[in-house]
Amino acid sequence: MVAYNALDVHILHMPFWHFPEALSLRKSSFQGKIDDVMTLNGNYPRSHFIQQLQLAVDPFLTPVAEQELIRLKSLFFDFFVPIPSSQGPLSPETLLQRDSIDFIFGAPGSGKTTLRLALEAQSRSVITPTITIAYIFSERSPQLTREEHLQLLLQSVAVDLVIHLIERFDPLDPPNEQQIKALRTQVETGGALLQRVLQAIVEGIESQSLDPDWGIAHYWERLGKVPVRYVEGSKALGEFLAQLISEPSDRVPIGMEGIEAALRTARLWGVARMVILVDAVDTINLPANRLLDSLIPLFHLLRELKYPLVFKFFLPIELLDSIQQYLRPAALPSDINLIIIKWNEQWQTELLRQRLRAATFPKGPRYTSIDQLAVPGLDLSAKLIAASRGSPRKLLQLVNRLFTIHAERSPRQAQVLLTTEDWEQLQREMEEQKS
Amino acid sequence: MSEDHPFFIDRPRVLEKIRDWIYNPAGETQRGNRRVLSLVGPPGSGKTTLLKHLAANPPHNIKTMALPHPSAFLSGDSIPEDSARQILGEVFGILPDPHATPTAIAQNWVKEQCDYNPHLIPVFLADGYDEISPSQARVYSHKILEALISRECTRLIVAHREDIGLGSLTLRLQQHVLNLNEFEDIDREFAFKQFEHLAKTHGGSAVTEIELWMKTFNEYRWENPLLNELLFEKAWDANGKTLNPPNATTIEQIVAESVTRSGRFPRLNEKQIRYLYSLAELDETWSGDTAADKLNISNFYLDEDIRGLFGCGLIIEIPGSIEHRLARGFRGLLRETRNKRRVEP
Repeated sequence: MVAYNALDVHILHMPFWHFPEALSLRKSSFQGKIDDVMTLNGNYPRSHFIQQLQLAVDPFLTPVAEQELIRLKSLFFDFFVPIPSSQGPLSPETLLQRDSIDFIFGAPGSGKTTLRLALEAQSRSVITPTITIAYIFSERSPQLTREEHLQLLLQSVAVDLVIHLIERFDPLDPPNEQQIKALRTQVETGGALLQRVLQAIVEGIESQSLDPDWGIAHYWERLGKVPVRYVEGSKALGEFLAQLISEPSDRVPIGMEGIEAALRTARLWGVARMVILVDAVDTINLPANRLLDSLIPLFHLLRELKYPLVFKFFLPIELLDSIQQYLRPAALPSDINLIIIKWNEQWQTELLRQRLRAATFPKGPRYTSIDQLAVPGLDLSAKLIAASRGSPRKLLQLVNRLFTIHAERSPRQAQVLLTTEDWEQLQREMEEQKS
Repeated sequence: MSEDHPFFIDRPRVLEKIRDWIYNPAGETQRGNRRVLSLVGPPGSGKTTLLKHLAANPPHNIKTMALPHPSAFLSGDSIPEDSARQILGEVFGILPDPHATPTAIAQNWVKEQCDYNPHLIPVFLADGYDEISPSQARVYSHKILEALISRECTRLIVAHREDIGLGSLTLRLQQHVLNLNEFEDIDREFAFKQFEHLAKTHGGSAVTEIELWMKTFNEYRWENPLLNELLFEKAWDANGKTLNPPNATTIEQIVAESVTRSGRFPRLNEKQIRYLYSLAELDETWSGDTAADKLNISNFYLDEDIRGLFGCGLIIEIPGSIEHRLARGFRGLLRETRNKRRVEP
């Protein structure tokens, strides 16, 4: 049995403050953009190039979702485009509404984690009877048994349930004793880090030192969550949170009993449905058979964890065949959807377009294509998309490298636009990499 | 259109789309509810008029509530609680809790509406969003607008220019964009009504035989309500209250004045006017490269004067394309002016 403590949750949720570069960034979205230009890890030629293009933020600096989220925070979501798949473009809203167990497969960098983060943001942006729970399944996690999965799931449910319910707090219609008592149990289940964050919020409210843009929501960053909307730090909320952390519960239920307790708490607070997002991040080095072995105990649990728990899996494409074979004999309680992320030229063009649009100052240039950043006739978009071979991450990495090549070629560029020579150097590097 | 004008609705299709969206914000694409409607279009495209019409003529089972101009809530980059409480009290028709914050009042009112009056759809109408600074827009969005859409029964319509984004992730996640540029031009019948109204406003009730007047006033355009009004007023005033076609100089003034009328935008400079005339000679849509060649500039997107024309809505992006065009009405007007200049002494 693995001992679960706050440190485990800390690692699994990858808090932003684990990453030193996150410290230099501001919370507010637009100020964040401006700061971003100034703090490109000391990459001055590159930042100079971005300034020359009059972009407010470098849209290609961090092609990996987790890094990008750390760098850009809520601006990250402005880069989002629906993820194209075997079932058409996947939108967060549609996936959230479906009761089926969805298995979403994709190659590394195809957008699985981006989609999962977008689902979380979507569900927290408005108060509905559905909430999302992120269940992060990392290669850093040991091989988990059914019971260990259950315990880790319980903790994940508690953390996200507490966040959702705090965000729903209404000072003019405060919760009753029964609701508070039930939630207090979840706070304990959530672990020491969650309790410390709640304590910090109480102190922040008392000292009136909350973030003006996000209120208390910016504290969620310490739990690895992005603030999605302004959550007011009222005095009544401070008193409510103090109640949640000051009095320990009589007994914290574990195992299936714990899940039942979480569902009861959710119902008491008007939450009717929980969508569990199982994201196998960082499993690129884990052989498919070992990852499957880790997942099988969780699949066994699915037979017991029925509606209102709805599962969505985000898995590497290598697992598709194994999962298909495994699921045949395994009778799962809901409809099953196997979805494969598939990018094409149209959506990759849209991906670049959306990044350029989102990176633009309100009064800045109206870029809609990489071709507008290049000398006429270079046809750069088509070349980059062809070289990316259908991988959005590869595409972003290529543009990222191209920007750096251009910036370093002449630190104070007389030629602002990307040139044929830049592209040829990128081609040479790609060839070298191949050989 | 100025404040005292009645509410002309020139685009029945747009209004129909808005009504459909209010009743079914998920639309036909099953994308989930998108309860924030961004009504976007350049200045003079009729956004404010549409909002006023909706406020005065709410569809069945809809409670439309016009929010005051955002500046009424704001003092610098903050929202003073006392005045905001009072404003929200007036908007909701309640006596607000004097100890509650404006955000809490809005959230609570919305919650009660959604819980206890589920058949009535509250629709909030927000104009003036593009007239405040980005930091003000962020505060206004976070503390007021987000609260108004915190429950599923409400809707929010925000009128703004396409290039001014919504300063809130929550609003953007709920956003459905209705771009007035994607709809048909204003119809001729509407232009007649507007003309009739303007003539009566300016000349009293003696104006009759509108169609005949329209024929006389044969330069009258109908693509853009703001241009219509300016053109009419210029023609009327310049010709001693006799309606004759305005001359090229008058039209040039109109082009320059149209975007500066409300004081929201910087006045166009000579170079920008010259660019507009050149762009009007291209096909209706054109790419940045084509335009740069025509204007003899190195890069269309980096040119400051071009950005100014984007900024005031005279150059319009074609959604999903790298092409652009001039705002409705301006291209024809500029081409006619150029032709007139050629024949005028």
